[in-house]
Amino acid sequence: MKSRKLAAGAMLALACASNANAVDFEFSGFASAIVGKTFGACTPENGLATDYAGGCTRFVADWGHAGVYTDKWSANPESKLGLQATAKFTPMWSATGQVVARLLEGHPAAEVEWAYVTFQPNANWSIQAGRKRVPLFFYSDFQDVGYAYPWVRVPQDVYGWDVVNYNGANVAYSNSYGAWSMRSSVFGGQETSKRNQYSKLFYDEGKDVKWPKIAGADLELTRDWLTARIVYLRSDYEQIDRATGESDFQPSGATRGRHQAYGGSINIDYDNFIVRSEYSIFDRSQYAYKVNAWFVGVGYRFGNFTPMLTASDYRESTKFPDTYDPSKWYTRTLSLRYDFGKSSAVKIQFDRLVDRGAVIPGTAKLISASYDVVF
Amino acid sequence: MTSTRILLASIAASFAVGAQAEVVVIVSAKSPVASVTADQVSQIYTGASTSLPGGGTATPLDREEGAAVREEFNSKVVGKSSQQLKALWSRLIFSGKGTRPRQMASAAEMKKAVAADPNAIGFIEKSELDNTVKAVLEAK
Repeated sequence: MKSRKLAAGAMLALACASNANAVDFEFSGFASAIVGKTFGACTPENGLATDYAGGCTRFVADWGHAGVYTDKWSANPESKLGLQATAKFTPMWSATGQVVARLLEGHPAAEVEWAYVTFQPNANWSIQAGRKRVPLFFYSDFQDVGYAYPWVRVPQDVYGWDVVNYNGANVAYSNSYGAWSMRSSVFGGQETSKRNQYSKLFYDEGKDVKWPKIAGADLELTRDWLTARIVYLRSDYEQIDRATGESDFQPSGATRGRHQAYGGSINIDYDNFIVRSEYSIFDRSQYAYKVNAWFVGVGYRFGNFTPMLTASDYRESTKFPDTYDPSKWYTRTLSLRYDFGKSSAVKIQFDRLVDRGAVIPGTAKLISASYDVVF
Repeated sequence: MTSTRILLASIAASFAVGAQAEVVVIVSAKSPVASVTADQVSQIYTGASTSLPGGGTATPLDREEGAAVREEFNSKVVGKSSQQLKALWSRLIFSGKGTRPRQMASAAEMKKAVAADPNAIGFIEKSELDNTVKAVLEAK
């Protein structure tokens, strides 16, 4: 929190200091109003914390922010409004801040989720420092912008992790070679997530989650109808109980570990066909478990309508079966996007999650609908 | 059957008439750039690249949403629908990977902005060309 305030303060100071010069301001935003409700056979037994374990069925729609639907209609788990301002001081220097407000209970009304300074010395290089999104997956750094993807939400079997943002820096290089263009970046930093939202899903007690020593790199290649990306990330990990101030023991018996994540995604937009896919290995096997997760979605654009079928899967394995019971589930998703106006879309989506391992959310079906807009 | 064929023929004819408004990609008359490929223009307008041939940083300029010349440019040169482009740019803008091209309200405004900036790149109907700007690519 402190670092967020600092970053926001620094931006404000920068903006004020250069007010005398001609500063170009650019404002933009996005919003999603999303409602949903679960249904299906009652599965009262589950592995979620008390606050989320109620009801007959439940569906975790946003692991990173603890957005959970139950068998009552709700607009709270996912609805959000984002506002972004960029101040361009010179062609090379700019500062950007993004505030996202969520309807979620127990979540601050609005948070500065992004605050960074960009230095772009030429067309190929850019350096950014401040608060950004951990670019763990293809959609990570725009997963709040519903308008930018075909579903109501990005597939949570891949996208559900405890740390979403980090403080640090990245260096990016982009270039094009004939019909191909590439963008690559290396990034590093750290994050201390106070009152971690993801941990709230599992523990009644408040937890802080630390990801010190984040380091990683990604590479994205684009050609006309094809976009492919690979990524590698590693960091240390520690979870601290807020009441005692002590680090929690992990299944391995250690209180601190190192994890790494790697994976890739392939997206195709060929005429009216669209394919969205991603494979990710999140390796916490040193201290807890290893996850293989993937999704594949196939859709077709009929004018303004884009129906899509998506399959996704989440599978844990562990070296510590005495202290950790691995989870396994899969989801099948049917979604329909309808584009209208200049920059808005409505979507309706049906999900069926089948929970087969150590039951966490429990088997459930979810019906949800969204109205997404960018401005 | 015959009436269907006539209908189809007239639809095809109306598309052909619509396609006659040719779009040209323009840079400033003072720019050293002599020609660009459709791939290069597509990369610039999808945010995949900001490099102009010759090494400069491109400043792409767009027209207002709904402008006929914009639809033509998007489909023939960039190869994406306006909606696809909007979704693409939403990603870039909100993840700090690019800033949305400035929108010009008319061909005159587009030409004026392009003429004034050697790094600018824009598009107009071929019939709007004058000596302040030069065509570096013609939409096929």
